Amino acid sequence: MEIKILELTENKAKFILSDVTPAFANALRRIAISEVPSMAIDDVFVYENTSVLTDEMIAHRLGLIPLKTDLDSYVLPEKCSCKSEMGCNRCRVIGSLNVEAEDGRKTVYSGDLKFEDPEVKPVTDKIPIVKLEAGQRLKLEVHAKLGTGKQHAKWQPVSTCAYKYMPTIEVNKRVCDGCGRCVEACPKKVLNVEKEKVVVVDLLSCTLCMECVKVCPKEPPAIKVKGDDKTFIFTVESTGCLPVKRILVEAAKILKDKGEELSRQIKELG
Amino acid sequence: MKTLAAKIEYQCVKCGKKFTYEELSMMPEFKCSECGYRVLKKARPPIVKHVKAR
Repeated sequence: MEIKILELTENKAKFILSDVTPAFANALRRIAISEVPSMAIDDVFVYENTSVLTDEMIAHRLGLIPLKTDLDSYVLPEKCSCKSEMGCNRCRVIGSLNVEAEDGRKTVYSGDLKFEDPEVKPVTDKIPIVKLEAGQRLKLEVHAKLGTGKQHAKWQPVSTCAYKYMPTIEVNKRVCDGCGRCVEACPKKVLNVEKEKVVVVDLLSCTLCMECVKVCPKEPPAIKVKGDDKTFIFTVESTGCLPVKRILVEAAKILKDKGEELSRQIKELG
Repeated sequence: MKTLAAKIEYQCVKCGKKFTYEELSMMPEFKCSECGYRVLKKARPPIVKHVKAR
């Protein structure tokens, strides 16, 4: 198994994972989407709401706001040792939102949410929650908790987590005459004509659409395109709640734990 | 944050004067005692409402 990083920033990662089965790559993808925990608002206590949206609509919008997550300081509520309904300081963070449109219209933004833990805050302050007319007021208390994408999509830490097979493109240099039809047909500008032969200029952009193979006038086609199903080009984008590197490390950890649990249960069967 | 402690009440739509159910049942005619408007609405109860953000 080998990993080659093509791009790695705080929120986006693009890498090539080679020498693994499609099942492994898919497991990593699925776990990154639905089993890596992240923080989101789960309980809303409404004191006052004279806005045009109902309490439930505002609560729904609050739940979808991505919050900066601290996986080391908090635990999933189901796994917390306090075992209480309302939670404790290790499994939930209390926040509040109190906005009144005193003179004129005002928009309530995610930046108006204030939590007891200053490390927990919305990924961006600019998300509009509701618009208030003069005199309208919104006053509520929120509880943010850790959860997984499996329970609700608001807890999905990624916006994109997908892979494609590594393309392999072979041009038969004896047969190819550089007519350029495949170059024109390619939607991703993968090919070009050089010295009267077709060459690959951007292999990683190929989407395996096979248009180049279809338009080649030669019989059999001078160009062969295949996807290597043991090498994967991953693209992962975080919502900002966690650094993308952390999401992938946690996904790998969870996959390892699942494997160990399976091994343990099989041993118990005897 | 503390919960507000007040009785369930009704409110005149025009001038905002509040009445309790008892005061309303005592009045001979169904209208606001201050401005005479005959439309009343139920003021939001002072209960803290718990909503799941799902």
